[in-house]
Amino acid sequence: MSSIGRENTHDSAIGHVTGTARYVDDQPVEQGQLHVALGLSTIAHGLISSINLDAVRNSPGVVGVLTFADLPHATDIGPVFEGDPLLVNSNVEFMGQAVFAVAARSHRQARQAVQLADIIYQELPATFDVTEAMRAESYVRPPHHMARGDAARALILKGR
Amino acid sequence: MIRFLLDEELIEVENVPPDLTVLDWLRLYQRRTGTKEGCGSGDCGACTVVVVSVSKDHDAHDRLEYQSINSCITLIGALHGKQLLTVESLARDDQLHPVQSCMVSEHGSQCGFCTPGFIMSMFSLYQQDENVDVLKKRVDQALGGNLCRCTGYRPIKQAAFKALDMKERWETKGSTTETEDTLTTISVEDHPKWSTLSRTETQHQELIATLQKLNATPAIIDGYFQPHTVQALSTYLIENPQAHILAGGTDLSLEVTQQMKSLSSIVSVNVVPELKVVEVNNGCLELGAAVTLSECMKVMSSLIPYSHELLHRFGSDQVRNQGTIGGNIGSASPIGDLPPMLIALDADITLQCGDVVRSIKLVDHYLGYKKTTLQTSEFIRSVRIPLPEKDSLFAIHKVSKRRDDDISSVCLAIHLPKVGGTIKNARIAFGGMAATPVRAIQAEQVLNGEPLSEESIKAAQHALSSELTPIGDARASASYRMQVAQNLLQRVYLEAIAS
Repeated sequence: MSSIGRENTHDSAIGHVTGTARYVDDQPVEQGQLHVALGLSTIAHGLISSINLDAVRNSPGVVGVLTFADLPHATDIGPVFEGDPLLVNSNVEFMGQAVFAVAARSHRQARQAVQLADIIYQELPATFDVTEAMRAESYVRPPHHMARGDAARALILKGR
Repeated sequence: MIRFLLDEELIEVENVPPDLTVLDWLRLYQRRTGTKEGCGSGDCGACTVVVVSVSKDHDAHDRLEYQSINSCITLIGALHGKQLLTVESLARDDQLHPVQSCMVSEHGSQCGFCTPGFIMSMFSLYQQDENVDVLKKRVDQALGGNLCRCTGYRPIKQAAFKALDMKERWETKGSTTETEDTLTTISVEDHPKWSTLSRTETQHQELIATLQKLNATPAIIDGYFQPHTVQALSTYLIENPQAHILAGGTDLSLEVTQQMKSLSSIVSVNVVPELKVVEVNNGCLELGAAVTLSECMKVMSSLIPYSHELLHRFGSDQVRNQGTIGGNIGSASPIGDLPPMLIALDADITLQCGDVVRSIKLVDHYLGYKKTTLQTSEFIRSVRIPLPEKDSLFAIHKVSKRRDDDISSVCLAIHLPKVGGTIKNARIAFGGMAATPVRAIQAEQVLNGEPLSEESIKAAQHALSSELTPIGDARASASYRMQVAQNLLQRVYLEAIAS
């Protein structure tokens, strides 16, 4: 049956409005399931001078702590281009970047443990606005141009 | 034991931490996961639920009140003696509630994560005892505490209007059998299930009686105490000086959900009658500290010009339904919304510690950033607000990044009593311009004895720059704050000459 010209409602709409649509956080919890929380960088740009996670490991309910050094295989999760590290190695590139992960018996315990990290950063200059970033040529990807014909000339002609 | 109804079921909660949130109770203890956690700080409304409580109507009859609240920053004890309704409560016998069916038919959901919150805010609006025209004007207000990041607000608002249309058709046509042209095809006939008229009068009275009975039982769990008298409250605070005073909890709960702290000792002030007082005496409005901001909005709108404009933009319905005037004063934030208005009106507050009661001008209560004269074991009992004279100029202006549900960058409240065209006893108060809410005394002195004119306002603007040194932060830079503060004085002048 064609959808053209008729109004189709969202497949999940009734689930949404009744609260029965199931999201990741709504899945039933397995017996003994662990919960992970991330420790995030508190600066925009810099190097980690020292990191001490002893208090995190000793926090109630904590079962494990992972840092970059513990990652067994691929550490870069950029889907197309490289440059998206799963956890910070030493170079922090934005505020809130994941530095370490904590697994604990409950989500709250994991989040409480995260707060006990003792990380010392060596801060580096950061860019906070577009104008500044343009001036510094601080681009996410190298710029590239796409063109067909002579757009500028075409616009002038159109203008007449 | 904390006793309340979840839908029609009696719930008795024991052996839970006193700082357990209603959201965590629903999601983790009940595995009732329709209610979502978005921000965990009362800003986004994804966790909105509705609590039904017994209150008095205009004729002092008992009535059921439906209020939307943010379950993520509501502690479990607040449910005592109430009925809790969530997004799972509404559809019955596979029949959607009108707010649900209209959200479906108007394409009001996309990713659907904010939808349960919107549904509950719409439901609380739908349940208000007002005529539909009044409710339609309140759609923006009712949805002001719910953020949507993908669907867009137009279809959501449209769903609210359509649901209210259905309510109106039911109320005016009664049990006619007109069929709705919606996906779920709700006939007007089905409406009685959902309308406020759905309960028979007997059922209505039964629910009121049940809630009153629950309310009369003590709400006590380990670490949580809810006294019923001011005497019991003051005694408890003397014996437990470390106890956290809980009113609406819209600020206190953030320590639990954002800073991950545990609050092991909590005393609720919400059912102490002396703290719920609303009275007008000798030109003053006297409010108990636990009067909610929604209640303030109702009572102040006719007594204090501009107050509605301010309160309308104070947080959201969810926050105003819980947050209190005493809490807003007590949290002592430099950007609290009420203090500038209260200081401009020369309000004083009454505090109590044990049997000792004292009063202090609100402006003198603030000592420094989040520092007040409040002593250990002391609590705010009430606020006394001298009402502005009819012929004086009184105005409040709040500037924030977003119109609804946002915190002030700068808030100005100004009171200019006039004697024969000359300003006398000017009072100018600002939020966001110092570490505390402040009076701009130099600017006041410049205006006193002068007529309100371009020159006198210019002089007052100049005075501001010498007496106030605002900070710059993520919300606004220092120079922006100063510019806005000065511009607001200009606005007051322009509005005055225009009227």
